[in-house]
Amino acid sequence: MDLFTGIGSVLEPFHLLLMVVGVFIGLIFGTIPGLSGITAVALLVPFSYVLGAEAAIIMMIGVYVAATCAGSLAGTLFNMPGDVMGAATARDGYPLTLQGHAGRAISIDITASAVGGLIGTLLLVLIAPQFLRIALRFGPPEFFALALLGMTSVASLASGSLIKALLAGTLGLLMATVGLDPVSGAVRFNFGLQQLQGGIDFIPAIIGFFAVAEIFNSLYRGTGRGRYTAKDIEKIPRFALPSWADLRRTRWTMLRASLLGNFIGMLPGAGSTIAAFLGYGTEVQLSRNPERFGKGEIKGVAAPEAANNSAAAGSMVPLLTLGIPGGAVTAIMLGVFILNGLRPGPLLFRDAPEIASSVFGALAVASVVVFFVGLLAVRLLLRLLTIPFEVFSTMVLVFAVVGTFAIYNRTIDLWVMLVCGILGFFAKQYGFPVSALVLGLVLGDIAETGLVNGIGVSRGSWSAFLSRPFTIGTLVIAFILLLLPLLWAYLGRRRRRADTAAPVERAERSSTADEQDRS
Amino acid sequence: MAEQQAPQERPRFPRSRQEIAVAAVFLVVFVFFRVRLDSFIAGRRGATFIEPDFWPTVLLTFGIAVSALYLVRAVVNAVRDGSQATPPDDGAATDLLPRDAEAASGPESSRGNLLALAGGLALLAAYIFGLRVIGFAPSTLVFCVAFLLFVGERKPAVLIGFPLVITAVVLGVFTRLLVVPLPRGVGVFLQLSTYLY
Repeated sequence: MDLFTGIGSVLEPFHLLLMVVGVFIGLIFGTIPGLSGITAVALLVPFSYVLGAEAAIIMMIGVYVAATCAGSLAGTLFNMPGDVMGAATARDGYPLTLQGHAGRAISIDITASAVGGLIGTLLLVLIAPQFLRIALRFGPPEFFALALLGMTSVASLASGSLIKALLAGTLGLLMATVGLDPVSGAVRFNFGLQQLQGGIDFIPAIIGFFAVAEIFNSLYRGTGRGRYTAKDIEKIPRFALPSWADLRRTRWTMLRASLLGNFIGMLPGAGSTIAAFLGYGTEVQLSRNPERFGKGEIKGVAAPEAANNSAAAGSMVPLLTLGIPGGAVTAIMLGVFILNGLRPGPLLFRDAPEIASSVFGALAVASVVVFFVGLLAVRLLLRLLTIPFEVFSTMVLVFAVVGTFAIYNRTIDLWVMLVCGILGFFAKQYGFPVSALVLGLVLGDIAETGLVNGIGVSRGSWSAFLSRPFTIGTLVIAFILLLLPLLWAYLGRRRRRADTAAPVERAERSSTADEQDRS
Repeated sequence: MAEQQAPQERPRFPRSRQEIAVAAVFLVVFVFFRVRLDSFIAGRRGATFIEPDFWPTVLLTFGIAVSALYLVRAVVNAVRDGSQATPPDDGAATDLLPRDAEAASGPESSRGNLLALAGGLALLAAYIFGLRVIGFAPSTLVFCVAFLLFVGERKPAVLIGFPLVITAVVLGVFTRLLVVPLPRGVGVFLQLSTYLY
């Protein structure tokens, strides 16, 4: 397991070709609003049968890294982010474009993505082996505690209401109970359908939650029809390298945001979107001129991009060392490993170290490929925004159906995809975080098996969950994360009260002064 | 630049009432499954320390508690704010994180939008159903034409060319390259599909 072996493997002609294809697919799906890297990675799952685990994972990492970067391109240029994390970059990227600095914004956007990805990969190579040592001692209570941490972190850090995040997470966990009980073998919630005995597979569900729900959403809101013209795109420079001055100005920002993003990415359930906004927010807090942010500050472009790409690398730590996916993309990768007879976790490093090395190498190479391809293809990519919604939505639905069916050749998966599409649509309409729903579905099995086996090994007692420092520590962090939104809400209310009280006080003071002057 | 938003209509049901309805649906669903839990579990019992209904019971009980809290908050917000569209303030993560723009603005319930959604849903359901009956190639062709027409495409070249191209590409990639057996349908469609792939 080492980075250079991995890079060597990724640079083999066939793997490099797949990487470049993956980067292109990721850039395309990341640029188009509504589609995301998750959809692209999910639709590539059937290809893993032919390509094998290593090649498929290399391609998927190319997609993942490229889509994470591309989400902000349309946001920076047209204030139309391809995904939620792109909205963080658009806060300063779009004002820069309006000021006539589109080339500067795009070049720093793509450079920060590449730097974040490379720093994230280095941290992954350093941290994963240390994590592995701890992971080897993990038993069921630790896995339960980590699954709980994932659920609480997604509920705590996701946007919007905590109650809705908890409800979405619970629904996801309940969906994971469909099928055979992993301990006793009893059949649960299959509603008399034999095809549901195997449970709800999370890849069709993810395709439903993201790809299908997004098309439903566009149909309902009628938002898919507005598009940009080729004239708008011609204003963008062809190949804009960042200036030395901008690089010097943003170098510490990129480093700080990458470190923060990597840590956030390692938390199961947190992910790149949260990393992007925390990276941006931290930079605002640390800045000597916070008032410049939101008005075209170049650091406001660098911070979220470095953070979210570093988080993408960080999210590989729990996946590779524990077999616990932190989000939808890593959940799909877990599925690909399993489809190919591999099980991520400590044993992966013993049984298939070349796969772990390839993941490291692919992350590093993808960051470099994204830098060059991204800068070269930015105008071509933005032309995608001129493709009519009618054609694109039809194509996505056909690929969603075929991609879902091709995984297991089961019609039931198509109905699961459709139902999840409906659920995902309503979740979006009413502000329920789909990420919590997906994570509940993915972590449900791990949480239940950990809980039930943990109680089983201590012969019916809960003592196993309170006897080891790691379990206690993880449960305490999970509890704190759950309380954090309440604390934020309290602080927000206090600040709002103070803000509304301040003008009244000022008015009172000035009227007293006026009275004194008059007297 | 092209226009970005369709004209908005005034919601028929205020956001606060919709929130109450959603909370009530959650509560009813969780209570229903909690009460009828035994009927949804079949198989061996008493073989392990923990019964197969333990984890679902934990989740459903938690779900009932949280959805009851959600309902109470939604009612309180509705009473306090009248018909104002204010989501319950129960701990939005932080100002640094994005609030879901769609959630904040609330769903726009207009008959046209609902029909568009229902139509799209029905077409996709029919496509999935048709795969088993008439096979992949005919159902994809029919679905593509129907969906394109439904979303407003009227150019004959697109209506004819796009379905043919996408069906051919998918057939080529999945049946030749990936060797994935796509549905062939029944009867005459089975013969046609066997001829094609």
